[in-house]
Amino acid sequence: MTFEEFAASRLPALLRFAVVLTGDRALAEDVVQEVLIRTHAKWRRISGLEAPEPYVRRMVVNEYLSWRRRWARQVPQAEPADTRSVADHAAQHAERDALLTELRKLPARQRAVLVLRYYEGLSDVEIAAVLGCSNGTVRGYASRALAALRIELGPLPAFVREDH
Amino acid sequence: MRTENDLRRALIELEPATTSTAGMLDRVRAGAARRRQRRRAMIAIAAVTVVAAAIPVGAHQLRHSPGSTATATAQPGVTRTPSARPSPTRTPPSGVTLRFGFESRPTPGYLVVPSSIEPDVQRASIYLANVGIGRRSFGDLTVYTGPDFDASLALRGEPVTVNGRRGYYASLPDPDTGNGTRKPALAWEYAPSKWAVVQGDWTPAAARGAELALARAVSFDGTRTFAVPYRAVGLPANLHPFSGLFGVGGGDLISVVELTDLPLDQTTAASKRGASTTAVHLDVRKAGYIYQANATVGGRPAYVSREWVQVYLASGYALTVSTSQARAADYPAAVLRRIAEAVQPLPDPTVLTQWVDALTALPR
Repeated sequence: MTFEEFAASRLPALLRFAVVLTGDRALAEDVVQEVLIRTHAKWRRISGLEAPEPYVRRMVVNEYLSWRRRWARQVPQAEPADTRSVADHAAQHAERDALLTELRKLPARQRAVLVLRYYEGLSDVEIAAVLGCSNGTVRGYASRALAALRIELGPLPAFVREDH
Repeated sequence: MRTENDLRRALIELEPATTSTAGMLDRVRAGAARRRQRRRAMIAIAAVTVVAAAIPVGAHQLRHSPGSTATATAQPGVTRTPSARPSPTRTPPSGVTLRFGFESRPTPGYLVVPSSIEPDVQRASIYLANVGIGRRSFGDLTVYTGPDFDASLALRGEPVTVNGRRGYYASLPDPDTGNGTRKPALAWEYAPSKWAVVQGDWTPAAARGAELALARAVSFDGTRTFAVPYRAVGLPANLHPFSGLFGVGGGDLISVVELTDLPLDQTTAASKRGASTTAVHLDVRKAGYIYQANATVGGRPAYVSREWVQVYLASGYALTVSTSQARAADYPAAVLRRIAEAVQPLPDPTVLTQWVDALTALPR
């Protein structure tokens, strides 16, 4: 597969993932664009991987996290503004909007853990490898993020709750 | 209080309705071309710098011959300082028998798939036959093999007889939400002080008939195999099964077995507190990500991290050997790797008919 074929076929899916990850369409486009430029530069190596797309998704996560770090250095109050107008939504969506607003305010790594766990369906072990940290750190991020969002965990079996 | 499902739905809602990528590929192409030019310029500058620096670097290397200043390099996860934690017991505990203690005859309209075994409870997932086996079940059959079931709520329900045993239609807590929400259920005492519960997403009007049909189809006089997609030969003798999970949905299979090296009552008590003291998890499922292999385990490509070992199998599946956070000091990566070497996966884990009875595949 050439880079052009890869980019043309996987760009919509990468962009969807980036929008959920960042919560911001414009930022998602910037992140994906930057990642694809770097993917192009390394395409010979990336195309040799058994599964290039997960690798590129990992690059998207890391790019998002480093992007946030750059913002934090340059603009202390760089939390993206909530541009969604709650008033535009029907009343039954108010709670969902509140949740999304709080989700945007989470620190980047906590948000990334939630997106990888609840949107991408990755196990904590897999998330730890994506973020380059320990399982315990992932659980810590998830635990703090869920507490901040006031989300109660269901009574999963111990093996699911603890490590999977 | 919000639930995890609320979060999942919110994240899905964040997905853009359309993902127009017009112009993006052009910008990527232009950006890539600019980077290439910049890289060429940087390489030219770097070449000059390297030549200028070559002489002092060469002299430095001559003064420090290889080995004269060698220091041991720590291998992440391989070398560890001795743990201050108490050593795991060497007394072999008796593990949980990985075999389902119930069977379910076919019930029109439903598919019942036995799914998990824990010390005091076994479960089966209930699916609608016309929908098929998906990632989310429609309901659950829960069989309490110990005294854990609190019958007080059920006893307030409406009596019914299930295969000659007393039962009750009652509104019981929904285990899926864990937030106290209740759903219609049928609980029956299938043996003295032992209860089973059928609960699902039926409407109140439809619940009773469906629950009773499913409950009547359950028998407790036989056993059913719990199978795993590997044979474990040469595992440490003190490891024994604590729980097992079999999952199927969306065409993917999942097998998780927890092994414990502690007395069963200690592991069970910790599990009920929400803590995990299990020693080793053997997990086979479709890999979400396949990492570039950095090792070979059992002749297969593998990724060995500081805390877990992932061995890549056929059809995009992987065997992951990991430990719980509480036991990480007792089971560092080197030990987990040796355990992974002792697990011999089937050539293709997607061939369910080849899965092996856990009673012969794992130590007891």
